[in-house]
Amino acid sequence: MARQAEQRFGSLFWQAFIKACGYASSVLVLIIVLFLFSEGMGLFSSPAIDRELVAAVHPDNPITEIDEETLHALLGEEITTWADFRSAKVELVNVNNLEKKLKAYGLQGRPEDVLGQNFERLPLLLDSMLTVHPGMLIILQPHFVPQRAKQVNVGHISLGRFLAGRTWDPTRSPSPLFGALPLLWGTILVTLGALFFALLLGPPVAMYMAELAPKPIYRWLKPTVELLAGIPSVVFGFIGLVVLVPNIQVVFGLDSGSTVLAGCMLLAVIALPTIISVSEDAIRAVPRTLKEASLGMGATHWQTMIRVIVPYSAPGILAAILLGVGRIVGETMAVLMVTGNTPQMVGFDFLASVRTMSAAIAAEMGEAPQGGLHYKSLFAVGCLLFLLTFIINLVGELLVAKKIKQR
Amino acid sequence: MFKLEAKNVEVFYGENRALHPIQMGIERNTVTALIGPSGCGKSTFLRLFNRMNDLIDNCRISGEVLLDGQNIYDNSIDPVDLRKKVGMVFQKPNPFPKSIFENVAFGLRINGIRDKKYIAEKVEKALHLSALWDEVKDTLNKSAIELSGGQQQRLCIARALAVEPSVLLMDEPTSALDPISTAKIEQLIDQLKSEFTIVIVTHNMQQAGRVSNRTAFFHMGELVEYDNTKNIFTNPAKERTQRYVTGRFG
Ligand SMILES: Nc1ncnc2c1ncn2[C@@H]1O[C@H](COP(=O)(O)OP(=O)(O)OP(=O)(O)O)[C@@H](O)[C@H]1O
Ligand SMILES: [Mg+2]
Repeated sequence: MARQAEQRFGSLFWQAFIKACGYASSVLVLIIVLFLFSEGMGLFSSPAIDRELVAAVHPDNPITEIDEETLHALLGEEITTWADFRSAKVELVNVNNLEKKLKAYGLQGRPEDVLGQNFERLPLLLDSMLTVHPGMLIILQPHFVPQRAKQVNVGHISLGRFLAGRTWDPTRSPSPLFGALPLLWGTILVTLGALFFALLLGPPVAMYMAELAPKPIYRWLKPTVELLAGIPSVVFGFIGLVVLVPNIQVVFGLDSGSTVLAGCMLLAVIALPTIISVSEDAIRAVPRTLKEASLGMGATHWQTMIRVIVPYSAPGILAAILLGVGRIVGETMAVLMVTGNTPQMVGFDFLASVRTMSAAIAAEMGEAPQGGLHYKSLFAVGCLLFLLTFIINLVGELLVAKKIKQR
Repeated sequence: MFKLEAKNVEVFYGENRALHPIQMGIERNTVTALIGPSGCGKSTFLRLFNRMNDLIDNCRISGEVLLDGQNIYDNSIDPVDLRKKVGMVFQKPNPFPKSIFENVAFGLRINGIRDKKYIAEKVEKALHLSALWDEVKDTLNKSAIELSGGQQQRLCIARALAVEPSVLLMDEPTSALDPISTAKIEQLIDQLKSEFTIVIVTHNMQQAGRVSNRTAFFHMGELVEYDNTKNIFTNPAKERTQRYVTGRFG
C-alpha cells in the first residue's frame, strides 16, 4: 500500500513539474516579447531630438510645437522663413554651428576666453543675438537657453517615418534619423540571395543523400553536414572575411569585397545543414510501399524520385526551407562581418554594402546610451525583426498544413 | 511452353537461405495460389518474377526465371521493362497521394504517353476491369486517399492493369480488407484470368480454394507440393501439406 501511494505521488509530482515548466516557459516568452515591444514602442512617444536638448525661439514667435517633419526641414534648411512670424528669416543655432554663428555675430578670439570656461556667459550673448535675429531657433542644452526665449515642444518620432525613412543615422545631432528601411531591405535582400543559393544546393543534396549516395560516400557526407551545423557563425564570418571577401573583390573588381553577395553565400552555407538534414528526414519518411508501388509499375528510380518522392516529401522540404530562412533572417555575426555594415539603400545591387537589422542591433547596442533615443530605436528594429520572422513562420506553418491536408 | 517458369532458383538474404532450389512452371491464363506458413518464402518467390528482390541490398539469386521462355535474370533484360510486363499488387493498399485518375494514369505517364484522350480511355478501361468504374466515375479528381480500403486495393489493381501487363502478381491482396471487399476482389480475379496470368499469395485457405487453378505449398523455403488446387485440398500427396491445409500447423 505504502509503495503504491509513493508511486502515485511520484507520478503526480512529475506531471505537475512538467506542467509548471510548460507554463513557466510560455510566460517567459510572453514577458520577453512584452519587454521588447514596450522598449521599442517607447521610440514613438519620444520627441524627435536628443534627450538632453531643448528647442527655443523668440518669445513673440507664435509657434508652440514643431513636428518631426518640420524640424528636419528646418535643420536641412529647406524652410528658411517663419510663415507665422512676419516671415522672419530662420537663424538656426545648435552645437554644430554655434562657433560659426558666434563669429558671424562679431565674437573675437576663442569662445572659451570670451564666454568663460563652461560657456557661462553664452545665454547672455544668445539673448542679445535674439534681439537682432528674432527668427532664431536655438537647439541646445536647457541651461544655455536665455531666460527670455520661449521653449517649444518638439513632436514625436512617427512610426511612418521609421518604417519608410530611407536614412539610418541614429547618431546625427541634434536630430537623429531613424529610417529603418535600409536595414529592413538589407535583411530582405541578403535573405533572398542566401535562399537562392541554399535552394539551389539544399534539397538536391538531401535527395542525393537519401536516395542516391552509395554507402561509403554517405558515411562520409552525413557527418560532414552535421559538423557544418556545429560550427559557430563567427567562425564562418571569419572564414568569409579572409577567403570570400577578398575573392569577390578581385573577381568583380570592386573597391571592397564586403558585399550583399558575400553575405548571401555565407548565410547559405550556414543555413544549408538545417535545410539538408530536415529535407533528408522528409525524404526518408516517404513510405517504402509507395516507392515499391512506383518501381513495381516499371518506373525508373529517377521517375520515382520526381513523381512520387518529391511530391510526397514536399511539405517537409518546405518546412526545412522555412527553418533555414529563420536561421538566415536572425543570423548576426557572420553577416555583420562580411556585408560591409553600411546602412544604405541599395535596390537590387548585390555588389553593394548593406547593414541588416540584426547587424545594426549587434553593432550599435554597445554605443547606444541606455534609455536614449538610439537605444529605443534599436529595440524598435528588434520588434521589426521579430515581426518579420513571425510572419515567415506563420506563412510557413500555413503552407505546410495546407500541403499536408491535400494528401 | 509455360508462361512463367522457375528453374532451380535459390535465394539468399546475406548468409541466410530463403529458398531452396525450386522448380515450378505456371501455365498461361491460370491463377496460381502460393500458400504456406509465415516466413516460408512465398513473398520472396513471388517477387522473383518482377525482380523486386533486386531492390534489397543483400539479396542473392541463382538459377533461372523464365517469362515466355526467356530468362529475366539475363544481363540483356532491364528490370524496368520487365516490370511493365509483370504487374504487382501489394498486401497493403498503397495508392499514391494523388487523384484517382492520376493513380491509374501513372504507368502511362512514366511510359512517356502524353495523348490525353488515349490516357483517359485507358484509365476508364482499367477502372472497368477492376470493377471500380461505377463507384468513382464522378469523382476521378478526388484524392485516392479518401477511398475505402477495398476501393483503394481495387484502384491499385486498376493502376497495375492500366499498362496492360500479361502477368499480375498479388501478395496477400485481401489480408487488410473486409469480407465484402474481399469477395469483390476474388470475383475480379476470376474475371481477369481470361486475359492475365495471375500468381497470388494468400494465407486464406478458402480463398486459395475459391480462386486458384493450381496451388503451391511452401514450407521453410522449400516447395513441398505443387498440384491442382482440388488435389492439394482434398488429396495431398505429402503429409506436411495435409497437416497445413487442415489447419494443424502454420
Ligand atoms: N529484406 C530481407 N532481408 C533479410 N531477410 C529477409 C528479407 N525479406 C525476407 N527475409 C527472410 O526470408 C524468409 C522468407 O521471407 P518471406 O517474406 O518471403 O516470407 P513469406 O512467406 O512471405 O512470409 P509472410 O507470410 O509472413 O509474408 C524469412 O525467413 C525472412 O526472414
Ligand atoms: Mg509475405
